[in-house]
Amino acid sequence: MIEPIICSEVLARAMRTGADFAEIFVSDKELFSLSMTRRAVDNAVSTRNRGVGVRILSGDNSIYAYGNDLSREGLLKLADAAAGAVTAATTAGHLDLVLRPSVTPNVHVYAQKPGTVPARKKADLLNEVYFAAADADEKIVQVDANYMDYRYNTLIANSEGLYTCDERYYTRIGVTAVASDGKENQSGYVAPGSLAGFEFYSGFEPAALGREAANDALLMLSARDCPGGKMPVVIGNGFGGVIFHEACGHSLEATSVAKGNSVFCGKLGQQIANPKLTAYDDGTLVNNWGSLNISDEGEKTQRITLIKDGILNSYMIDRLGSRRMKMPSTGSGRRQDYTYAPTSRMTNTYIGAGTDTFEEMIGGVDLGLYAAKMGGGSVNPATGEFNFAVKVGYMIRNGKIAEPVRGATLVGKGSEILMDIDMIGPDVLLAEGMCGSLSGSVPTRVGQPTIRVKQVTVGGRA
Amino acid sequence: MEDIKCLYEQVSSILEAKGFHEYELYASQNEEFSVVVSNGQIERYNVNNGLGVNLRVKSGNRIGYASTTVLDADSCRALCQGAIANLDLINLAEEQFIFDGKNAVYEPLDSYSDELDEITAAEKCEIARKLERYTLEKDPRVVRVHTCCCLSGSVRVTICNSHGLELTRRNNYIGAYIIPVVADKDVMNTSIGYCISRKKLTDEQLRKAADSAVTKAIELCGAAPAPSKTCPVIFRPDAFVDLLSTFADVFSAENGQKKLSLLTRDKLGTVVAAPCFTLIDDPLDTTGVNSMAFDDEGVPCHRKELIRDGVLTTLLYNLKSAAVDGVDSTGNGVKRSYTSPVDTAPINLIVAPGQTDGDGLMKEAGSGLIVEELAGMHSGANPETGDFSLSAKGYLFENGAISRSVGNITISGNFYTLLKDIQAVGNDTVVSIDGIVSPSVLVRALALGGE
Repeated sequence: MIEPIICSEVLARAMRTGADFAEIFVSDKELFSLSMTRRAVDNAVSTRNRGVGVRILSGDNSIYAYGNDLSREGLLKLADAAAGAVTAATTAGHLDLVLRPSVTPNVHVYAQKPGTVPARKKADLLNEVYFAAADADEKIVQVDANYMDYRYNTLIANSEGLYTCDERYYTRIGVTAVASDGKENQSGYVAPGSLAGFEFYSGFEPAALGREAANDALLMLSARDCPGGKMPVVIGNGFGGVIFHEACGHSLEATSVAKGNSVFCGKLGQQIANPKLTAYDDGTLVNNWGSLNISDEGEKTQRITLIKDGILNSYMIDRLGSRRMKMPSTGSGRRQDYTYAPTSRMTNTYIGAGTDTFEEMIGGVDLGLYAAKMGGGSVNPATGEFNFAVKVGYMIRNGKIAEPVRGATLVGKGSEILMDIDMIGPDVLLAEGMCGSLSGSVPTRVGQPTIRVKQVTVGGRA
Repeated sequence: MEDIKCLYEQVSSILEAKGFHEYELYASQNEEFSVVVSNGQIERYNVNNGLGVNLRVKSGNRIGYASTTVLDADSCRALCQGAIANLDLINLAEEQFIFDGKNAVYEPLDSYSDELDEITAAEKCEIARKLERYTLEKDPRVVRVHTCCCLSGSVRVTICNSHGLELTRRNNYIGAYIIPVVADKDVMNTSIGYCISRKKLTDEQLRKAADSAVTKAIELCGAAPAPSKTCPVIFRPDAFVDLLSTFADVFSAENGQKKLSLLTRDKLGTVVAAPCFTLIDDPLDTTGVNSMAFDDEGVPCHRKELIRDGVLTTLLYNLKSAAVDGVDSTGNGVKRSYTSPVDTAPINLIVAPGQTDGDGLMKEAGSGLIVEELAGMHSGANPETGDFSLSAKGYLFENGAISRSVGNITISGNFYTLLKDIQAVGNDTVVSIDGIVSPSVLVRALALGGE
């Protein structure tokens, strides 16, 4: 993309006003997407988004300039824009940077790269998923479905001599089914994806996705409003892990910790969760949606044990966070693309397996909620306050799963819920999501086995 | 404009040679700047200068899309090939359109301020420093600043199409926001204060942003939950804006046609909200920062009342959904980004103010909940059903006066029902950070979920 010799010239130029680190990041994304609505393909879009960002660090501070012009002149302009913002006491003399081109080893398998699969085949797949939902029941009044895949190439060069490229392929399909009884609507949504080629879709029956979305919508249409109040909650595996991602994960990112904006600041080595709980952020899982060969700062991705037996073991740290916290980087620097400077982010984050059985968890609850499927959520890392939506829920009455309920939200504080998790099952499962933060929207997986929380505030309408 | 025109000529000659005669090139040029300061020092500093183009090619009823940020000759050919290949995959019955510009009259609109171009990066850093200083000085309980940012941006959109349409619009803004962290008896809290404008920011605006952020953060610090109950709820302007922008899609005619909104065409002329509620979309109003004279299909924009005195008066249309219903586009064909297909969205939503001030709303309700902040909009609200269950912070009030702060609770209800349950609209209009204009709104009853 850009020759090493030009990179070193641009890096040196960016550092001339006194910055002590400079980095060039190029991303080139070729995306194809399809959407279906009203039983037809209504949009087919091809997008190529290529651009470059120049970042410089001066002590604990970060300057970032980006644009779409990859020519030498364009890059020097970015370098000047960045350098112009630094007012260091000492300015650098002549810098002679030598870059060492290296090959990033790829650990993921892409059997059918998106560019080799005819678009018609992708449309056929989307049709199969769509009609499985649309024709599941006469109460299904609307279905929206979409397909996307993209190739994502990066080039990272920095003033420490790094010059490396990486290539990734992603694919995802999503379906939303809306059920109506003429008075009310309820919806169901399923959207699996992977760091993989088109072969991902031969691993399961596509029509099952459509049926699942439709069934969830129908179930929630028949459900009554969830009652509000504090109660024990059993949270299902898979996307249920969003609770850990939101309530704890974000507060363990250097973005929050470095500036003292996290409830977990200074708690390394301390008990922050029930001793039954061990949790990881693992960017090395092969072909996982949230995995990376290298971070978006060019560092090797790691498997980080965040919490071991309830004790806080590690934060997630990027290069800038490492400077601010005076701790080594954990290779956690990520960004959506060249339009963002990197910051500490999660990859595949999950709670490890426990030994409690589902029967024990449900059986011990007189009145509570079984949140079988979770929706999304958000958190304020400074206070740890989180909220997230229950997509499919059931009441638990007298130790048994009872009627389906809808409209439930879980709210609380991360630090409290971690201590309140009192049972953990063996059935670890991960699920795909998009996580939004300071450095944009990145693919992440969340996960957990089925868990029980002693008490959570449930927001509901009944 | 000249380089876009030149690109259009290139694309045009490729397409005409391949036998395609109806197409549109849409270009979006962005300049963005932001600076985050911490203790007077620049902590993050971003500058951006980007250009992206989108090509739409029509054949029969169908339109194929392709877009790129790479503008060399090879990419130009790839762009055309991409759009043509994508055409073949579409099998939608409804016709899609490239605007022919017939009878189009464009209102002159002052949506760009040259004054903002003169503000230097150093001055913007100074604005952020001032805002941080005002915030830290405001109260000793402000222990630090989470984020203090000054940002500005401008966008130039150019549309050229094969019907001879050639349009350009420009918008710009400057803004600043602050998130202070306060501590009261070991309990921490944050809040946000902001100002956004198309004119130079004044000291008074910065002080007001600092004041409101600090006051809110302190008042709501350690706010305890309340018992679950159903009660009257006053949404402060920012909270009502959050709700409104989350559910704005229900006014899209296409969503009605797809049964994804309950506001379908047959609801026009019927009561969908309380008589005290009037909702306007006015792209030509320059109070907010989203004003535009034409939409992303090149259709002229105009002011319209969506709800007048509780009655649904129009839905929002782009060219495609308008043709389905046999009406004219309302000029609400909007792309979420230059790469996106044309969708429908309000451009400048305005809730018409009422007569009552904040205290008056409390007196009218007697006792209930004031919602100052909402969270979880992207997960706890379902635009397809209207259901919401959101994390909230605010105050309880009794006998017309605030009794205490409240947090760690949820409010739940349904947006359609809420519109009908509006009891009164305040006169304390605020221009929100995303451009929506709204006063406080009192809703007769919603479910509060707490202890």
